[in-house]
Amino acid sequence: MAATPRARTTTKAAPTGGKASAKKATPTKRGSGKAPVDDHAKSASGRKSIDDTAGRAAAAAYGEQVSFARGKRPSDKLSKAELVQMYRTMVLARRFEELVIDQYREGNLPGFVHVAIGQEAIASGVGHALGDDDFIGSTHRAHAHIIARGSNVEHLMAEMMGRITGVCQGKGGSMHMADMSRNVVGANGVVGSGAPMMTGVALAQKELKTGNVAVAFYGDGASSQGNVHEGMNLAQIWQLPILFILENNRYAESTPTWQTVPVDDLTVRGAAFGMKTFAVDGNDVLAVYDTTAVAAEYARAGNGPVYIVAETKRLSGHYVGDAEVYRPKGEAKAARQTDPIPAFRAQLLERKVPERDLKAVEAEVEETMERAVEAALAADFPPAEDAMKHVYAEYPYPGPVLGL
Amino acid sequence: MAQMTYREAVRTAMAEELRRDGRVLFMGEDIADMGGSQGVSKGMLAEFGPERIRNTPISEEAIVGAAVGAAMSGLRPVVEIMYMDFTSMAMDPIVGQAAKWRYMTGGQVTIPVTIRTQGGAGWQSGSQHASMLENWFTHIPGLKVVMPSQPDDARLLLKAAIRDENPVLFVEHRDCYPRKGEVGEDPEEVGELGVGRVLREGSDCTVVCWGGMPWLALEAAETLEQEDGISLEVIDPRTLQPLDLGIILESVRKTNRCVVAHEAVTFGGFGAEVAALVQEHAFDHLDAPVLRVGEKWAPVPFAPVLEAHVVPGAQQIIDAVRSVAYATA
Ligand SMILES: Cc1ncc(C[n+]2csc(CCOP(=O)(O)OP(=O)(O)O)c2C)c(N)n1
Ligand SMILES: [Mg+2]
Repeated sequence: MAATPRARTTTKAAPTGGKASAKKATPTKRGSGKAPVDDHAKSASGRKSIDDTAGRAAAAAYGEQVSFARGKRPSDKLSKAELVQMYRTMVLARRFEELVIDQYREGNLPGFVHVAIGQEAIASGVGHALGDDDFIGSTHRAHAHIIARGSNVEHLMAEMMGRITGVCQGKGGSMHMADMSRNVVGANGVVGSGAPMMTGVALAQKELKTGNVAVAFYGDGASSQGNVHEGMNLAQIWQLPILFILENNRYAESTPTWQTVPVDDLTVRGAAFGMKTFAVDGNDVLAVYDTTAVAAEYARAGNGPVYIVAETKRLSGHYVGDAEVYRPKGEAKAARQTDPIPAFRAQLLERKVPERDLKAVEAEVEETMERAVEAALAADFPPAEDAMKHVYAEYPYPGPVLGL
Repeated sequence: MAQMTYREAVRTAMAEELRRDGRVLFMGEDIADMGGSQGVSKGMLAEFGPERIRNTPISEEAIVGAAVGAAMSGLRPVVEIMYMDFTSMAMDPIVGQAAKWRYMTGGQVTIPVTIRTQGGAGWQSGSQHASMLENWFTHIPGLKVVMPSQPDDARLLLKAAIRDENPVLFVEHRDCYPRKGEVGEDPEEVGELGVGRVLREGSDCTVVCWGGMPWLALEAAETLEQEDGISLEVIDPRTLQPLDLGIILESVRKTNRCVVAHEAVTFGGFGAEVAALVQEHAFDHLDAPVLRVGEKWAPVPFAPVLEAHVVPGAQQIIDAVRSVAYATA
């Protein structure tokens, strides 16, 4: 007999976003508490974006999406020392990438390099809100995410330079950096492909009852890939412990998001999956921490996946060496006003964190990174035959032909 | 004739066809304002506007799928897939749909779509941005596969691909982009798919190669001539499907030795097809087994030393030629 559409109601009710949980996040009206949307790309091009009012209306009617409301903020419980650590993570990621750029220009660091300068608040906020054993999967813009999980920057820098001491022994480089010792499944050179993969990591956590959650980072550009949508759908029907964290820097390479995404507000896409959805100012590290903490607790408790849209800005080119000819004049400069690092620094001072503590951290990071670069430069390249290692679980691999 | 780079030749071909035929349009990621990740379509947006130079979301499956649908129903789309690796994101529209639709419908539709892509190792771009995968597509009845190495061929064959009534995969090796050559200027001039080219005449050994490889084979030929007195004939089939076997056999019957070189992994590569065809049709003319040169059995790694270890260069061609040249029947 052909299935009728009504069959659905006879099975377990399809989960809808939120399950109106008694969680710390409370439903708010759509659009509130969100980062400001910048329209300069639109006006500069003289072309209008697509009218997304219908989409907004649909999402508003969906209603169970929540924006994070500042009530009892998880970050209120952070000690001064912990706050300083969050700051350190941001400064470390920034310094790492600045030195990566230097080393690239000096010719010591080959390949394609994408830096996340300006997006460190997301990396740090998420990284610190997760448990030690939680998993992350990243993108082509991964350094900050990985650093925020506590990976050894010496090994990361060595990897960037293709050295044997690199975290992937020189096999991966910037775009394929992984560190399973920190449950960093890896960067990913294929846009969007991390989303279904991390869905699988979350499935394993659920089946193995580890209590861990998985995080799939991805970009606004990736949000139009089928694999992301398919991953989100699967995660929701299977109610998996995963956070889909969209870093909305409003560019995909040269393409401003308004050209390729028909809604201005990417949170509406959560409605399509009935998924618990948060919007957050991705340049506010504490807001990111709070949102992630609530989301991770929700997912960990077995309530299903959470989708988080974090608004941010890319303060550099798409890749190191990008002349950014496509970027409206002055936009990058204006974006620097929202640099999350000085913002958080000021916030910490306001909270009476002694400036000398911050200075001490800055000096320590400087030293740590100097050492990391020196060590990477001094390390050996892998022996050429290592290229044949790790293709299979067996090494040496007897194939591809046998019997010779 | 004008001196231009391979990159400019590809651009010129697209521009000429867009001017000539209002049904041609071009779509892909970052192809408009930025002119594509390799700068191939720089300036085309200004001439043709955003309706015909369509900047797309990062949605390979949808872009190719839509191009296939548009091709069935009146347009002649050209699509760019930024890296050959990402054709894997569009496998169904290419292999499951474009290649088969005409067949399955008993010839009711034609699919005049051109899928351009580029790739190649040597840039430390890592395992997911460096693969040469032409053999995936040469194995699919219904597809044509074009992979020229020379600027003039790039122009004429891309024009032919766009005018072809079938789905055509047009593969550009990244190393070719800055290569210069004399390129014709008559916009009505067009190439012919399925015709190979002798890039260098020689008498001792035939090297069949395509993509970025012919440039390395020409280098190898100089070395072999000077150091070994071996005269190499370099043949670029230009089109892999259909394959101009005639030009290869003619050469092998003259040189009695044959090496097939491609950047893709050797095992199961298109070189195996060429080697099989040569021995099937010219067995009596061969003084040595047909050897293949290709990538070792590994993904392309990141670190320069590792990459150089697996990816074939001119030296691997030289070694293979020496091996067959000194072999006795
Ligand atoms: C499947 C696939 N298509 C295209 C690319 C080329 N590419 C690399 S990064 C990128 C833009 C990604 O934009 P977004 O998801 O917004 O991330 P962001 O770069 O802003 O961090 C593109 C198109 C790719 N790596 N993989
Ligand atoms: Mg982006």
